[in-house]
Amino acid sequence: MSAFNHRYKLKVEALGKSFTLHNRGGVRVQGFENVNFSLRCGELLALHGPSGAGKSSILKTIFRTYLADSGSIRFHRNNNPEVDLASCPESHVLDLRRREIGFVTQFLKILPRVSALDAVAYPLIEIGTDEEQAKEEARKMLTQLGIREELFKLSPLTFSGGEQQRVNIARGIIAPKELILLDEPTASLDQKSSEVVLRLLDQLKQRNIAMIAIFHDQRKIEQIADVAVAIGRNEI
Amino acid sequence: MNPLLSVHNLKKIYGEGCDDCMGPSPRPGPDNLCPICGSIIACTDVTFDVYPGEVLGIVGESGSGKSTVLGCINLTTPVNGGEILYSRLQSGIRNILEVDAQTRRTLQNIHFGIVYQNPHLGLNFSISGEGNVAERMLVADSRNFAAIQEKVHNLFERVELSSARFKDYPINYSGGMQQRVQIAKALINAPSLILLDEPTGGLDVSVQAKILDLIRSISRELNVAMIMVSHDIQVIRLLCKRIIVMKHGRIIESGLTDRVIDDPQQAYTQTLVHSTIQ
Repeated sequence: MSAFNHRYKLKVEALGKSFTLHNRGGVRVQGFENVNFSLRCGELLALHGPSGAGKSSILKTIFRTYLADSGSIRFHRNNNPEVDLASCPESHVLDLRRREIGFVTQFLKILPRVSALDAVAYPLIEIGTDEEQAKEEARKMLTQLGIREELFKLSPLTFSGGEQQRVNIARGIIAPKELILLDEPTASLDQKSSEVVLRLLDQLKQRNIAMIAIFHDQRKIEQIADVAVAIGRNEI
Repeated sequence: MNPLLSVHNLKKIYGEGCDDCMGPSPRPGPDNLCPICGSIIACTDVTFDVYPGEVLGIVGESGSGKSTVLGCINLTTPVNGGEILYSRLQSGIRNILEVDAQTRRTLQNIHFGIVYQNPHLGLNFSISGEGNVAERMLVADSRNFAAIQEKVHNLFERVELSSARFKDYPINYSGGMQQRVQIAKALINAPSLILLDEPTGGLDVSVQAKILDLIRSISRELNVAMIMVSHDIQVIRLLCKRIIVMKHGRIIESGLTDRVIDDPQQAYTQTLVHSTIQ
């Protein structure tokens, strides 16, 4: 089948997630329910809505950090059969994360003593890129995101919030992916750095990468998103 | 990818044992004792795979069977049941619980390395740090003194042990240095699997960070697989892509590290995760 036949890169249908707290008498906390949307290659879909509506939980469920309790997440792969991310075995998920699906978390979590350059280069090294080449690409990516060269060798844990966020973005998008999930990628950034990040996301779109990003700022959504989906409490 | 190591239904009982606890899926009790005969069920029905180059984490409270599993794999703890298939012996995939004594020594000295929380278990305190590592090369049949010394010194540089301290006795090393010598000893014969039993337990955080960075870089550069037992869920989160949660000698939950920690399905895993300082 040609790519033409696959209208959607990702199709989320009737997706729901609740949490059962066994140590609180089995109380169920609803994360989100009946979420539906779809996304094509080269599109950026923005999720927005009030805090606590379940936006981050949706991203985590697509990335399989959370296990969905209902619905499906059909991910069409370029060179492989389609998978349902809601139900495929966890062993497939590791492979998908290495090569096809990236996640830029809101906050950087990293071992102490790992330098910014190493942290950013690692996703490339992990998929077999030569170390020197990976570091060269990491340098370019960090420079593009406005991180000063004197910081490259330092641990990002010593950086400001905005710098950490940019290191996190660099790390999340440096390796080639087909789908990238971004949890408030511009939350800690000033206007100028935000613009840099949005330009970078636009370049990813040109490279036909599909993205789902959480934004709070309506102007950013208008500027970068192709589709906007509002997530509300218990409805969409 | 084929597993490096496949553990199937591993069982270790301390005590007399009975038909129930020695059989498959023994009856669970409120603790790790057999409710029928009172024997200690150190581990039972433990099944998992380790893939080449991965770092697999094992978490769980004290007495949950984590170290027992490592001891069984390292062939230092005799088991009461199960099999451990290992794929890197010349003779092909073998159940290492059934190999002869010579193959067992080859596995322990060349294929596997182990790092204990207690350096007294991992190091010989009556010989120098250098001697500890060189000794392991000797048992692996290296005989060229100059070559051994060069290799040991290169490895000590890799684990950041200063050359002035090579000939000191382990008792004169700091806790962090003792762990680094243990890591060098585990690595010297280029193993395919390293077992880490709380390698940073009891170390202060700056030393812990050094050791963790060393473990991380070794696993990446040498593509050696590791099984890491730790109490520290945050450490496991950053080092391991997959984890196993143990309680009362049994695996109660396993899977992708972020999934197990952020969306734990079992009551005990929820207690464990929610007790952690983030």
